[in-house]
Amino acid sequence: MSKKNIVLKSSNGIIFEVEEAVALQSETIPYMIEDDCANDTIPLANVTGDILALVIEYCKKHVVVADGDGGGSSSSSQEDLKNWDAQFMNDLDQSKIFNLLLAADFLNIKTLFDLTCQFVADTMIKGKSVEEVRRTLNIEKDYTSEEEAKARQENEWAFK
Amino acid sequence: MSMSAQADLISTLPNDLLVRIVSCLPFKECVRTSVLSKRWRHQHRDTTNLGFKESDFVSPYLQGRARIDARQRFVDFVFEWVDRVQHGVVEGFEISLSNPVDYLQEVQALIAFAVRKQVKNLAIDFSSHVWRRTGRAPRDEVVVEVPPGVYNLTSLESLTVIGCKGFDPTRFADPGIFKSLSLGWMKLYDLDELLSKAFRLETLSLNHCWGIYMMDMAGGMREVSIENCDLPYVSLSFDLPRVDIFKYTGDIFCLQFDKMNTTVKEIHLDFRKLIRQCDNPSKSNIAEGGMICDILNDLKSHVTLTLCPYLLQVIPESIHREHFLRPMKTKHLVLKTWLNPKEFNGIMILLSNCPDLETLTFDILPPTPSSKARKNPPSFDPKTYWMKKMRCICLMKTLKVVVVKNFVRGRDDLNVLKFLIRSGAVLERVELYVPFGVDEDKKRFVDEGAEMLQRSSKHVHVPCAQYLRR
Repeated sequence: MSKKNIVLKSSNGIIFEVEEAVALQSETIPYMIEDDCANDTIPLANVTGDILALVIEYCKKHVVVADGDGGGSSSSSQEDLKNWDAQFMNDLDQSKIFNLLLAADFLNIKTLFDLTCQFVADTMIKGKSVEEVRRTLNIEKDYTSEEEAKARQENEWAFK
Repeated sequence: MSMSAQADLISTLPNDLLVRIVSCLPFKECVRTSVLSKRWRHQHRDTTNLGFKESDFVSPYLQGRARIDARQRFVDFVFEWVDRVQHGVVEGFEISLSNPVDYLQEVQALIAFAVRKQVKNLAIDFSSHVWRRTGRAPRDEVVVEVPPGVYNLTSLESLTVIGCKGFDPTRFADPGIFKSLSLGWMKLYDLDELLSKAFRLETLSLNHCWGIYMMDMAGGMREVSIENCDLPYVSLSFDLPRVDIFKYTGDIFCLQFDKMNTTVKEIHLDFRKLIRQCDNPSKSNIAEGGMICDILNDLKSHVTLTLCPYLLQVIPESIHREHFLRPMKTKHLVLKTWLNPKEFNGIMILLSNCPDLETLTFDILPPTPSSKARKNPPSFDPKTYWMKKMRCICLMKTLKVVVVKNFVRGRDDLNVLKFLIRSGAVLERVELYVPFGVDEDKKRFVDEGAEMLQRSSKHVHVPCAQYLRR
């Protein structure tokens, strides 16, 4: 089979043309292709252009490795990919990260979804005090002091 | 990032996504998210990763009735949780309970629950802090048998089994599923059979295991850790062409490295167990010094090397030329040390054999009776030892950062640092960290030391000491 391209359209009307193998890392897109076979362009009403560009960047990077996976020798490329993932996430601000998470969920790209969840947990919550997490994520404390004390008391063991 | 008041974006995510995020946290930290705000009050209750550890609930200092009650409260908590999530998704399950004799049925019910949930990650740990202190596991406390369901569970990727009775590594239906295996406090006959079939294994950790009749360990693991195990054969050779992290703690014996990764990221060697014997210098120290140098020469291609005081003490004892330490490719050297004069020669020899060293970390150990013992005073005066001039490549060309962890300004610490500042031609920073929780007076004393060091040099930056995070 020769290479087939798929055209994706973001919610703000930006068009991306990608190889089929890249797009098919999303488990949602195949359904859209079936539903929309008359039309060549797949509209993604929930994903803006800047986020879709990130999703495609991620999928392009990961499709290459899936192709070249000849078995035992791919260890270094796996390692490189891990480093690439870390760098990819590190370069994003919070707004991009959470929109990427929503997009990965909507498009059902499991590895990107897991990567983003783990990144949020590891870099914004893990190892931080409650106050630090609130500051990092701009979470407003809407508990009264009594309510917070009660919540703490309920799981006292976790705060020792 | 330019907005002055940033929005709380995470809380706008739908519940199922918040649950997926908190499921990525260790259980205890996941539960802590309940106090962030009302929106977060109950998200943790749906986490798919459960980790129940007795040590989170029962202080090791509790005795008698209070201890029995605290343990019962812990078990009640676990069952309340497990009963509530009978129909939910569970991906990871951990239960740690010491001396489970009184809870055998409960423990089996919990393991059966994890098996029924087809978990990916399972950890069952029945060791106790007393075992770790004494180095012994009394037979009557090793009572839990691993049920057949675990051996046959094909959803597993990672498995931890610690302190179980009659564990049999050959019974797994398909060892090819494992990415991570951690085994502790058990007899491990036939481990090699399991390893030979575990072709996807990335992480292997063996802790306080015995009866490991292996001559060689081979595989594609990225991380191998062997701690305080009893290896009955006289030598063990490693064929680990992909290993990134290699840790060995225990008795010295003949470790051989046939095929290792071209560059290992981290190597940790700790023979601290032998320190007491080392107080009486003997011929065996010469042999062990030579053996240690041979091991390091075999492992010379690595990025970070972590060593214990025993190594620092015996490296200089190697007196035969063919067993001298040779230059290594170390970029970061971590020395777990008391900075006892007995270790000084070892430190010097290492510095002269790390020509690429960029960072030197001293991780100061809390004193022990043997570290304080001055039975065999060194043949030199520790006060003037660090005044001498020393030419080694890393001090002239590469060493940029010196880090001291758990710095409390012991007897000779400042002399060592002054030496490094004076001799380090390209040294940029000396970072000092005091232990978590030291009092104000001690901190001030340390900061005075930092100021003294700063006054001694213009080109090296010595900031005030920081607290070491737990």
